[in-house]
Amino acid sequence: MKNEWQAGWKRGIAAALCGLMIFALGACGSDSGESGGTQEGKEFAGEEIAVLLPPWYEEGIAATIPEFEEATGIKVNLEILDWDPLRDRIVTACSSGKAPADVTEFSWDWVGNFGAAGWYAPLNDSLDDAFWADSMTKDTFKYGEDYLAVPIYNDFRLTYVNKADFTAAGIEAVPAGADEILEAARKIKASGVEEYPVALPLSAVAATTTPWFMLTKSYGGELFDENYQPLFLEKDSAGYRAMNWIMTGLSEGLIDPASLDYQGMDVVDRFKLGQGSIDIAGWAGNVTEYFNSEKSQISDSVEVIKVPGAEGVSRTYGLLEGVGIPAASEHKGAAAEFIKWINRPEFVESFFVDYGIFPSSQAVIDKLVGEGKIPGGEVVSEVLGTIEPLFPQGAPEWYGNWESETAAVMNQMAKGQLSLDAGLAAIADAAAKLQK
Amino acid sequence: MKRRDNDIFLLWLLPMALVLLCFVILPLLVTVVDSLYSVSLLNVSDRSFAGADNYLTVLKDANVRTAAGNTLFYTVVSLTAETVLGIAAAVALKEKYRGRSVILAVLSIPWALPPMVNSMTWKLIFDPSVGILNEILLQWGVIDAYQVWLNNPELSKWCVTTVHVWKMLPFIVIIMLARLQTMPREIMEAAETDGASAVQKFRYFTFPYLRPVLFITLAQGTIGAVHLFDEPYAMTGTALDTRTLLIQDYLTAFREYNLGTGMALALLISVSILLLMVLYAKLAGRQEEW
Repeated sequence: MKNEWQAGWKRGIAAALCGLMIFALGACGSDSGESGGTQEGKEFAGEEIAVLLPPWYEEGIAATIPEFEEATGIKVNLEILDWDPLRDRIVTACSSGKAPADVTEFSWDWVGNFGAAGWYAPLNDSLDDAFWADSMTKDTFKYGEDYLAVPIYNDFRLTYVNKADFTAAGIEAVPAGADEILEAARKIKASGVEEYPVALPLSAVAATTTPWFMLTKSYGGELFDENYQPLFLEKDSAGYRAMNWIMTGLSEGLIDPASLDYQGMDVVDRFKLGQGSIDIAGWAGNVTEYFNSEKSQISDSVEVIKVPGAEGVSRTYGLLEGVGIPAASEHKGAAAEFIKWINRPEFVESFFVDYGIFPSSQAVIDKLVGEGKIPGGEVVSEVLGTIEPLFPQGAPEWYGNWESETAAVMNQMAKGQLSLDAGLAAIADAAAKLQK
Repeated sequence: MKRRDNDIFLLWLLPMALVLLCFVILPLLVTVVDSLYSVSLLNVSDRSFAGADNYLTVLKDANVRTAAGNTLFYTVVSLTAETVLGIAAAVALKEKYRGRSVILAVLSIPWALPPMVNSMTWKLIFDPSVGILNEILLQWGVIDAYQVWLNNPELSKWCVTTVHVWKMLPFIVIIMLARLQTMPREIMEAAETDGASAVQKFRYFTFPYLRPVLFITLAQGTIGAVHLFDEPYAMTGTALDTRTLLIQDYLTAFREYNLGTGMALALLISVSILLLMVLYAKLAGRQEEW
């Protein structure tokens, strides 16, 4: 019995000594600049996260993933989906309590719906105070007191013109007013310089609505009043004038009839080839495309101007995109690390310079403007001050479907199936139906 | 002995019955129940009884009526085209000749391709600026300027139907060809001996022999046409001229987040298909068997 006790005691001492040795060896290992039992910044090493984003981020994000994986030990699976399938994936997964990915795209107009549904985790504590203080568009993603997403793309609209076409048509200065720029388009067409001077999409996709929304703003109006009653039915309203601008452009042959088949990217691709003189509602990030001689045939003659408005006023609106973490994600910590990574100032800067993703960081924008890295930087800086939310009263829950219906109705108007008045009435009816 | 045989047969059917119960009957019952409730996709647990409201909403919706008209167009035109072209191709491919196997292999490509690939390929063909269709027709002098095809209200449905038929045709041809290849040679030889013309041989022998599979191809064609989604969605977005019932249902459920109304519309689509299948089955039952 005694022998058994002694043997047990000896085994206990041996085990304790082994434990101490293992601990000591671990401590020796941490002397190489790391602290604690895990390497700093690698507390999520070995985890695997899925990142779900639309195509315009693919190149830039894919380029930084190897570096991120090396630095953190977190494996990233990047999945790229077009806009509609991406949104559907998020809605169907979240509604069934599943995470569509660990980090996903988060559009400005999803805040109300997704916030009410509780589908996304608050990110307030995921980034430090300095980051939030510097982010000029963060409030777009605020639901109550929670930030549901971190801005990644400060998307707003500008107008691009091919100055060479204006000059060739005898127009010395590019007009600042919407009506005047339409008149300039008529002159360009009449001079034979460009058959279809105005570039915009008219197929039944969301991008078709953007020029109308933007011109409504630049004409000095809003789409809806504070009770979401339509403001675009009166003939002198900004919304009516904006739609009239588009449909007049089409009926007078200033817009290519092929635009009926075009989506947003089709317009960009053709404008870069020199087709069209005025990209009326171009992406802000396109400054890196249009002004780049390797990507654009109009890099020498393209200019960026403030959105043409009425009575000398120019306004535009933001279509911000962010990234969020679904509440059902099982890798929230690792996902937050990834979001932090793509919000480092050096990455945000290269994301714009190399890939055209316009930043939300005031510090980065100031630096880019200061270093002359934003073509047309002065105009862009001015336009930044004219950005407003599309819905000052808050994006309604029914926005997504109303936008689809509006695109379908505009497509019908462009085909001549609905008159201007009938089309606008149909758009108002769609809003009324969705509000019920 | 007979009773025991029956029991064994029932036992054999049990696995399939269980699968049907779990994956067809139960989801169908859930759909029927949900269609009577107001359910938002944003919060599926928050629901209130709506009775027939969802069905009334669907029936009153002008967009649903437009989509139903478009779907009817696709069904009628594509079934006609698939049947006529399918029979013609099957008859042409019945005899063995040099290159036949290559033709058969090439013919099956559209069926094998994913619908989105088909749609994107055709979207490029129909492209108003760089599409090959405009280029060819312009060279042949059929058109004098590039045309907008997919968003031309008079042509868009025909374009979508063309793409759908192009995809479905190989399947239809293979079914018909399989049937034709089982046709006894003596029948045709006797007809030829009696001096029957090609038209007479087709009318009195080939077509009646094809009838039993015709109902299978009609059923498949109907299901394919009513389920049309990828082709019109990829080529023309949510345009009303080409919008199908399934696209409308998708918009209702996933854009409006209105799951209850979406379920009601889905059920109405399913019931319509079911009624057509019953009709086909009845017609098929009346056919004389060779």
